[in-house]
Amino acid sequence: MRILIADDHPFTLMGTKAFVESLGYKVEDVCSNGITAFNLISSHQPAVAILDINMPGMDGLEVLEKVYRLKLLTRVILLTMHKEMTIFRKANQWGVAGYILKENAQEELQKCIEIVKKGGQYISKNLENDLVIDTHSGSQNYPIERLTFTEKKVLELIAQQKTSKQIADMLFISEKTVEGHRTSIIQKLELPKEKNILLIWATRYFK
Amino acid sequence: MLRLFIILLIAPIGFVSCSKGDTSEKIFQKKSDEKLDAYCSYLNADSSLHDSTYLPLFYKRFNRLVSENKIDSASQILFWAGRNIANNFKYDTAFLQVSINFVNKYSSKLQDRYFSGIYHNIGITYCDNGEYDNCSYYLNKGVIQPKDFYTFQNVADINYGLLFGHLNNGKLEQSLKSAYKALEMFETQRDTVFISACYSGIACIYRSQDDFPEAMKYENQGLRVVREARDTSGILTVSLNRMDLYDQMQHPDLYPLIDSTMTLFRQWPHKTEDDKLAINSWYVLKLIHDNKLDEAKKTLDEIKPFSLERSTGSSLDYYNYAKFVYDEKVGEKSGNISFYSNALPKLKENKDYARLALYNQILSENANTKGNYKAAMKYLKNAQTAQDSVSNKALRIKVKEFDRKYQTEKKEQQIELQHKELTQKNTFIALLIASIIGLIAAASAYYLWQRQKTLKLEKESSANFTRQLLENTEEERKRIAGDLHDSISHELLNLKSSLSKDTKAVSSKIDTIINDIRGISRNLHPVMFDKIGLVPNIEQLVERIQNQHNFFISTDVNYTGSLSSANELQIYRIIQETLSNIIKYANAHAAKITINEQPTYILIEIKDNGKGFHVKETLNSGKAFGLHNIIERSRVIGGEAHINSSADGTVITIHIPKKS
Repeated sequence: MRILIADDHPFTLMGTKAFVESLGYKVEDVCSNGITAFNLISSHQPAVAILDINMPGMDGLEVLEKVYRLKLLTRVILLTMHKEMTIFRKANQWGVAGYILKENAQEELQKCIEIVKKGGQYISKNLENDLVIDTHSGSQNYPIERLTFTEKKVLELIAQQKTSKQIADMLFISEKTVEGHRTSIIQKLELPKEKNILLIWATRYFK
Repeated sequence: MLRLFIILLIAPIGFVSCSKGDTSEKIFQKKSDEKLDAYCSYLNADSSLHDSTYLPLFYKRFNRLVSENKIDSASQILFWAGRNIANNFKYDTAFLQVSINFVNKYSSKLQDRYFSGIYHNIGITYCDNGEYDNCSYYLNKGVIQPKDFYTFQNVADINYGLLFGHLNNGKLEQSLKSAYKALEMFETQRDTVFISACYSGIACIYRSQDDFPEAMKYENQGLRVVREARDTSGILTVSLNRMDLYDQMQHPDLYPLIDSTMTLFRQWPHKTEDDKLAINSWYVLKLIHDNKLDEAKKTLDEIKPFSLERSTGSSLDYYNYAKFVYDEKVGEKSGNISFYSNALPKLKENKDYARLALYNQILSENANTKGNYKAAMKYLKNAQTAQDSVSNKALRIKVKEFDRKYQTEKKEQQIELQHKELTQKNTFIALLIASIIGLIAAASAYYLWQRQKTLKLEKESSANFTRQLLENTEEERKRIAGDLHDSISHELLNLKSSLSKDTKAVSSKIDTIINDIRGISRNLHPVMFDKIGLVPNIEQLVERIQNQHNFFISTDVNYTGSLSSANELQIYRIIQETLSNIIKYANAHAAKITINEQPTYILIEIKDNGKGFHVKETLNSGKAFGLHNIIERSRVIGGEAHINSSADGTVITIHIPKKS
C-alpha cells in the first residue's frame, strides 16, 4: 500500500515517515507543501495521504477538498494540531478518512491507518468539541446531564414558574419550540405522564 | 330777494350728538359711547326738556349734592343739564348764574372734562343769545390743556364756538385763529362733521365780508371732507351753511340745493327739533319762491311749536325770516315785525353786528313795502354801518393776510409732521434692517458654533477611539505576554526540571503546553477563519459562550457567503464584541443573532432583553470602546450600525449594502 506524507515541518515529516514505515507501510512520497502534495496525489494516486493542515501553498483542508471534488481514490488522513470542532466538521464535509491530533499520533496513527485501509473512518478519540470539554465535568449518571444546554435553560425558566409564552419571549424563540423542548425534557427525565409534571419536578429538583 | 346775513352756529345736527343713538358714533370715534347713569341720560335727552319738572328736580338734587359736598356728582349733572339746555337753545339766566357761580367756586375740585364742559355750556348759551362778549369770556375760561379724550373734545368745541363768538363781534382775526385751532383739534380726532364745520365756519368769515369766491372755496372744502367720509349729518350741516351762502350770493342753485337737502333730511333718522326748524324754514322759502303758498303755510304751522319753545338761536332767525317773507308775500300785516325792531337795542348792546345788519335790512324792506321810505333809508343805513363793522376793506385785507399766515403755518406743520413721519419711517427701516442683519449674524454664529461643537465632538470621539485602540492593542499584548509567561514559560520550566524523570509525566506536561498555546492562539484569532467561513465560526462562538457563561443565544442565519473573508471577520468581531458587552453589562435572559441576506443588502441584528443603556450618553462618555469598535468596523465594511436601547433591551442593527 502506497502512502504519501506531507508536512511543512521537516522534523515532523521525517518523524511521521519513520513512524509509518516502522509500522510496516511503504511511504512512496513525502513533501513539505500542499501544492506538491496535491500534484503527487493526482499523479501517483496513493492509497492514503497523511496531510498536515497548516502548510504553505495549499493547506491540508484545500488538498482534501480538491481530492473530494475530483473524486480521487486516495483517502486522506489529516494529522494536525487543530483540535477545533469547526475544522473537523469542515474536513468531515469533504469526506476525510481520518482525523488525528499530532499529540496523540503515537497512540492512534496505527489504528487509524488500519481502519482507513479497510475503507472505514477514524476520528481521534481526543478530538472533542469545546462544548463537550466544558460540560464534561458532570457525570452522565444524573438524568439532568442528558439535557442539552437549551433544554436546561428552558427547565430553569419553568422552575421560575414561567409560561411557555414567557419563555419563548425571553429566549427569542417560538412558543412551539419551547413546547418541543418540554416534551423532550419529559422524555429524557423519564417523567410519568401527569398534568403539570414538569413544573412540579422542576420546582422540586431544579433550583 | 332780500340779502339774508346770518352767521350760523351751525351744526345742531352734529352738535346735539351727546344723546345716545345719535350721530355720536361719528363724533366720539375714539371711544365707544359713554354709559351714562339713568339720571344723566334723562338730563341729556331732548325730550326731557319738555317736562315742567326738569329744572326744579334738577335744582333739588344739585343743591343736595352741593350741600353734601359731593362736588363731582354735582358737576356731572350740571354739565349734562347745561349741555342739553345749550344745545336746545334755552336761554335761562338763572341756570346760567347757577353754573357760573358753581364753576367759579369749585373750579379746583372739578374734573377737567366737567370744568371745561360747563364753561363751554355757559359760553355757547351766551353765544346763542347774541351776547358775544360774555360768550368769548366764558369760553376762553374753559380752555385748558386737555389730558383726556372728553376734555380734548370740550376744548375743541370751545374753539369752534369762539370762531362764531369772535366773528359775530367783528373780531375776525381771533375768529380765524379759533377756527384753525378747532380745525387742528378735530383733525386729530378725525371728526369729519366738525372738520367740515370748521371749513364752513371759515367760509362764514369770508362770507361776512362778502368775499364769496373764498367763502365758496371753503364751503367746497368742507363738503369734500364729509362726502369722502359719507357722513350724512356732516353733509346736512355744510348744506345748511351753503344755503346761507347761496342765498347771500343770490346763487341760482339755492332752490335745488334746498330741495335736495330736504330730501336727504327726510331720510335721515337723527332729526332734532332745531334741525327741523332750520331746514323747514328754508323749505318754506323755497315753497314761497315756487308759489306754493298753501304748502308753505302748512309747513310754517308745523314748525311753529318748535319756534315758540326757544328764545334764541339761528334756527329761530331762519323761522322768523321765513315767516316774515311769507307774510310779505301774502300781504298780511306782519305780526312779528315788532320782534325785529324790539331786538335792535339789545343787539347794539351786544355788538351783534350780523343780526343787527340783518334785522335792519328786514325792517328797511318792510318800511319800503309800506312806503315809509325815510324809515327804510334809516334802517338801510344802520344795516350798512353794522355790515361795515365786520366787512370794511381794511379788515378784509387783514383777514386774508391772517388766513394766509395760518395756512402757511398749517402747511409748515404738515411738512414738519411729514418730515417727522419720514424720519420715523427711516429710523424704523434702519432698525429693521439692523435687526435683520443682527438676526442673520446671530443665526449664522449659532450655526457655526453648533458645527464647531459637532466637529469638535467628532474629533474628540475619533481621537478617543484611536487612543483606546492603541491602549487596547497594548492591553492585548500585555495579556499575551502574561499568558505566555504564566503558562508556557512556567510549564516549560517545569518540563525542564522533570526532563530526566519518567516520560509519561513529561508527555503530559507537553500536552498541557500544547493546549495552552492552542487556547492563546484561539483567543487571538479564530483558527482558519477564512477556511471555515462566517456561519460555522459564529455557531462555534455561540456554543462556547453558552457553555462558558451559561447564557442562552439563539440564531437565525440566512447567509450564503457573499462577503469577502476579511469582511466576514469584521462581522464576526462585531458579533463577538456585542455578545461580550451583553454578558458584561446587559443582565439579559437571552440574546438573538439574526443574519438576513437579501439581493441588495445584508442585515445583521443582535438583540438582547437586558436592561438597556443610554446610547448617546454612553457613546460620548469616552469609555465605550466596544460600541465605537462596532460602529467603526461596520463603517470599514461599508455598512452602517444603529444602536437602539431601551429598558426592554438593546438592538444593534448593521445594514450592509451589497456591491452591485
